[in-house]
Amino acid sequence: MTEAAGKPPVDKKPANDADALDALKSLLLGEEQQQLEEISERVADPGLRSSDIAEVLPESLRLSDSQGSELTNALERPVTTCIQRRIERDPDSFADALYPVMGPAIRQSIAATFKDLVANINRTLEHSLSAQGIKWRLEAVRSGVPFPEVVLRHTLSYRVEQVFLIQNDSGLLMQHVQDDLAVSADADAVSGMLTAIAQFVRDAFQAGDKEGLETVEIGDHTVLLVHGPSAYLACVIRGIPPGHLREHCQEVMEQLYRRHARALAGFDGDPGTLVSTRALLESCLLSEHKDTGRKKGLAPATLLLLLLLIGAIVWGLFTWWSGAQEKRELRAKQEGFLSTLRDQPGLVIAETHFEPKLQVRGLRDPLAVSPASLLGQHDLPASQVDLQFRPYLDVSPRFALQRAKARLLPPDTVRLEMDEQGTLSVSGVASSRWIERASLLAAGVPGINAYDDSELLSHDQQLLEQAQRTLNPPDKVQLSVDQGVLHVEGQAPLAWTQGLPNSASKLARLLGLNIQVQTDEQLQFQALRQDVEGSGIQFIEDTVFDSAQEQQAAALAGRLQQLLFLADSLGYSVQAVIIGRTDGLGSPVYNEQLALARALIARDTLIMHGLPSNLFQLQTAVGQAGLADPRQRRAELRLLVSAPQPSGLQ
Amino acid sequence: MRVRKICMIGDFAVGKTSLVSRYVHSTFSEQYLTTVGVKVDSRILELASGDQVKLVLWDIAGSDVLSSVERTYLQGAAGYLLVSDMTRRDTFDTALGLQNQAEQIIGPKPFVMLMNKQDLAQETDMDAEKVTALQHRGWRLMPCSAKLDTGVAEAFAALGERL
Repeated sequence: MTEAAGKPPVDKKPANDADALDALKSLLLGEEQQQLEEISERVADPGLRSSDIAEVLPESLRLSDSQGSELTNALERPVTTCIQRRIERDPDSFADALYPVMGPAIRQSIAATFKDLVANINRTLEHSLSAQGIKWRLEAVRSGVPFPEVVLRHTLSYRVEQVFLIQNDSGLLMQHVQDDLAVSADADAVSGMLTAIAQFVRDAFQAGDKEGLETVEIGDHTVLLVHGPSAYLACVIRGIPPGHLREHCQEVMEQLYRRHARALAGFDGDPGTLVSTRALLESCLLSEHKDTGRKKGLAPATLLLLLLLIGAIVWGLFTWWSGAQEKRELRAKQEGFLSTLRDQPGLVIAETHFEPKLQVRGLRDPLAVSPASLLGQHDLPASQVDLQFRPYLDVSPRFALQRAKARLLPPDTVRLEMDEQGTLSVSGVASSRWIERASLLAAGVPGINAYDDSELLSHDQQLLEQAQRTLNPPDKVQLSVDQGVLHVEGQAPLAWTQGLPNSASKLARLLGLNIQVQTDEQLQFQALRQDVEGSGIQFIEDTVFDSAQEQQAAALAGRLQQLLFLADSLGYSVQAVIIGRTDGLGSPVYNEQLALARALIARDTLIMHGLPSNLFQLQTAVGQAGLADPRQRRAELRLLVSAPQPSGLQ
Repeated sequence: MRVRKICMIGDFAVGKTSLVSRYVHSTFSEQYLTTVGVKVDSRILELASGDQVKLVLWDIAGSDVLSSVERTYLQGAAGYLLVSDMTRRDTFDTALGLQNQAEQIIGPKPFVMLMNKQDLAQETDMDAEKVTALQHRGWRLMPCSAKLDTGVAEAFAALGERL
């Protein structure tokens, strides 16, 4: 380029020169000029510019993403901010949008978790009660490790507990996933130390770049190392890993590099850039149980849950049924109790309620049965019944009779009866005092309208009736009873009278016996005595004893014989005094001898007629001197009778 | 949260493990146990900006020259802490040599030089001129004491801010 060409031309005629220049431009750059103007116009117009960008934006985004993460990094903050603001303003729309995704995801997660839980429970239950289970439980106690974890350790063939994705040189942890039950230390420190060990081993054995530590074994753990170009996988395995596990991990590593090669190579210490690798890493968390597939049928936990469920249902139904049954039974008892109450005389049921417990209101005669005492018949506890009865008087014959019995206190020998008209009939035997008292008290008993004691006998009356029946007294005998003493008066045969004390002693309630009875034999004895007393043998002269005297003596002897017979039966003692008499004529001495002779003749004659000789005593009686009285010429008989005292039973 | 690998390098018995123990576990032991190989720990550091960064601390066994395996331990480090003993002048010189080695291995990376055992100040054996000279070169030198817990967290924070 020349100097002239490098400098702008001198502007001598601006207007003409400008036109000329435009004309020149038009000639030289006509088409380009037009395009330039169009471009300027498009740039100046926001609408056209937006339209242009919209055309190329999708392709630009795809191109930028394929070339690196710059676009992602640039969009991360504004997109996050937009989402946050949108959620703050309208959370519902986000929830609606996420619902189709979140629902299945949550269900899947819950199902997976529950499946693992059931599997763990199954294993734990299977080994809980066996000898081996007890051994493991002791091991759990000794080591402090939870029992399910101990069971898991022993029943697992292997289990990948943790997977580390570690940057090769730095040993920085790029991602880390682990099993739920795994216990991990500081994952960053572990990855660092693992890397340091691997580097030490490689350095110690001067391994080549393609060589490295493949396996680390510590106790029952094995660490499988799978190396990639810039990172390696470290899988921490409990148990004995199968051969195919390394192949699986190797495949996972290859997939990681196929999908995330750029992120893996460009890792700068931010694990967030490799979150998308977690799904692949989690596919390495494999496990295998020793007894997988060995059991048939329902799993123990499922069976247990099923049994528990059935048990709960049965228990619930039984509880409901037994509750209803108990309620029915209680109601039946309450009804029965009320029925019994209504049947009880002297109780009036006025009001009943069944809820919340049986309540009964009414009236009760004091003589009626206690309602509470009937609870036992119906197996009802007193705490479940509320009884409230007010007192009243039942004037029905039944209660009037009870009240009469309570008031009169009749002896056992008395019977009280009530008729429907309220007449109290008293029958039986009682003391006169009770009979008198009862007639007064009965009038004051409620419910008694009349009192009838016509059938009531006193003890004396009863005794008299009994004596009449038992003793069978002769017609001339009168019986009476006073205060328990039987009085017997009148005339009766001696035999009846003599047997009376013995017969009367058999009478009940007899307190005494008073016998005022003259026997027939006594009366005959007295009559005969009167006849004999003073009689004798009339002499005519001296001691001439002829037929006339003989007849007199025979008659007298006969009467004496009869009298002695009666005296003997009556228990009397009889002495006969024969008094020889004379008149006053003659000398007294003679007369005295004559009188004695007459007495002796009379005695001897009577003895000759059968009378006992010891019966007689002899006396003489001489008449007044000088007085001739032929009636004194005789032998006269006097009787001396000693009778026993009248007998009586007291 | 970003993760950064930090290496602790320095001479024998300068207190690298004690510094890590103090920083990570807040503990200190008078008993000396030499580190064999390397020991790795981690702690989250909150930066002045409010962001967080996890420091993975590689406590490399003390030596005056890095062995081949210790060189590999430095790979991927985002920075390192040079540790010396204020009471032993030679450990300061060793730290300078190790810094040279580290830079050769992992290139220029942020580092902070710690002068440990400040609690033994009466026994200080330091070349002040060298210190000053290094400071003039832009080095960050910080006295500290793992025993008294002075300057430890500040040192890690200072390095963290430079990462």
